[in-house]
Amino acid sequence: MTRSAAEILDPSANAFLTGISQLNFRRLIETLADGILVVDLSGTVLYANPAAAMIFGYPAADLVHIPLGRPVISGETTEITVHRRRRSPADVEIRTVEVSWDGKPALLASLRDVSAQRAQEERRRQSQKLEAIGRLAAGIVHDINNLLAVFESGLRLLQKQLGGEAPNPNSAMLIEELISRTRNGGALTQQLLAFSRGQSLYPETIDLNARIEALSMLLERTLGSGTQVRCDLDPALDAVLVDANQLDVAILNLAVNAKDAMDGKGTLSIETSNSPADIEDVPAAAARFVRVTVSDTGCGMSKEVLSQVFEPFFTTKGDGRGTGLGLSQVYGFIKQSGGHIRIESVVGAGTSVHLFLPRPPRATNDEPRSSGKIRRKRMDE
Amino acid sequence: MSSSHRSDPGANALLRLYIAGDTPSARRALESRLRIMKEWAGGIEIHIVDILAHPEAAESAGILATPTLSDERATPPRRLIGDISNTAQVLDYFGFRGKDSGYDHS
Repeated sequence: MTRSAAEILDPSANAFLTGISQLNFRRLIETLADGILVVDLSGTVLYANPAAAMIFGYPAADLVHIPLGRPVISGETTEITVHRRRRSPADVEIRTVEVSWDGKPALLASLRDVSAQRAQEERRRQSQKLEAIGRLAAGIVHDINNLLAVFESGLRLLQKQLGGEAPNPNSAMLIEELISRTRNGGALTQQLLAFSRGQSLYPETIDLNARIEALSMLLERTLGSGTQVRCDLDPALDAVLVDANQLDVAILNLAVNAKDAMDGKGTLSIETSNSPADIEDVPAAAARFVRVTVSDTGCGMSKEVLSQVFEPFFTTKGDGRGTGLGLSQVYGFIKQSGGHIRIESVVGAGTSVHLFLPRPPRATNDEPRSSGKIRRKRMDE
Repeated sequence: MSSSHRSDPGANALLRLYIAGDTPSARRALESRLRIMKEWAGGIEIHIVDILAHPEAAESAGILATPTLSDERATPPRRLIGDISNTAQVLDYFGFRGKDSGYDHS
């Protein structure tokens, strides 16, 4: 049976603590990676170690005396969600035991922030799910394209046979309408193909900053006067190897989502970084990728929505405003290009989508750093 | 040691259950809510507050963690944080148990 903290603090049971001074014991608690909270029976915090303060996002001194609430005592570890200001919530494992604190009964809760672990498990589940949906989509896209091709060529033949002598003028209009719908179907299968990483990409070495500068002018005009577009571009940004047109589509898709999330009012920021910080499962990210981040100050997304955003046809936009294929395109394109994508979102604060785009195979890091203009010229050549 | 006991347990008590979205712990808390309300048949009303939908409600009530079951008529509010599936412990904490039953804090 696990020895409870009450027993540990009981002087009669501290034989194994012999030799550890009170100061050392305090240092141990203060340097523990796990959070320690002591709470009185009415739920007011009596003590918080630095790790607990970090989890709650308050200085330890401010956490003391807060009427947090009494942690439930149970024989096992349970999970709570801790909500912090201006930070995403944390998944925290909690286990509570009874103790004596300054001679009075109290509760000791040990806390472990498992957010990173949960997020990693969730990402793995997500990517497996998207992989499966992608395979399914790729399978049906092929068959649907064949069907659409048969429809379109049949309609063209019919159009030719009728010539200008259709018995009913509506027949010609109907055929034209059907051909146009068939093309819509073709566009839809292309988007699905983009998601399932089956589209034809033409990667080229491009100057990302120049591409974003050109796009931002277009965005300023199209997003409306209520939306400010702010660019924060790293002047030392190296080139990336991606399909330029699909990259434009991806950034436009992100900008449209940002605009809808902000309901037409707010700031859309596009930021680039030549030395992105490492991301989970991707060590030494800066050596292989540059980062472009599209952020908004919109409504943000809950964890539940976040877990589905890349799925084709998933949309939270009402009134037929969204097809649910925008983020699927971004996801498929980035993955097919050998990059990575991460989304951070806080409900009520906004969303940031980070795209990690691959550098060209030949390491540009060793070359003497050139100015943006010269580099751009070299790529034009 | 036990919490204070309600003088008129038959009176309708109003508690609030703060949850955040559709997480496994939120679902467990919602199941427990139904059991608690059933056990004290009609005597306890527990309102659900999803703090993702109503962040201002959590902010004004000073809720730092979910799930939290809260009696806000008390000053300071009486709150339980975490898994509330042990209904005996929950009812006792909020003063809904007889003196010789339920969870003993001592």
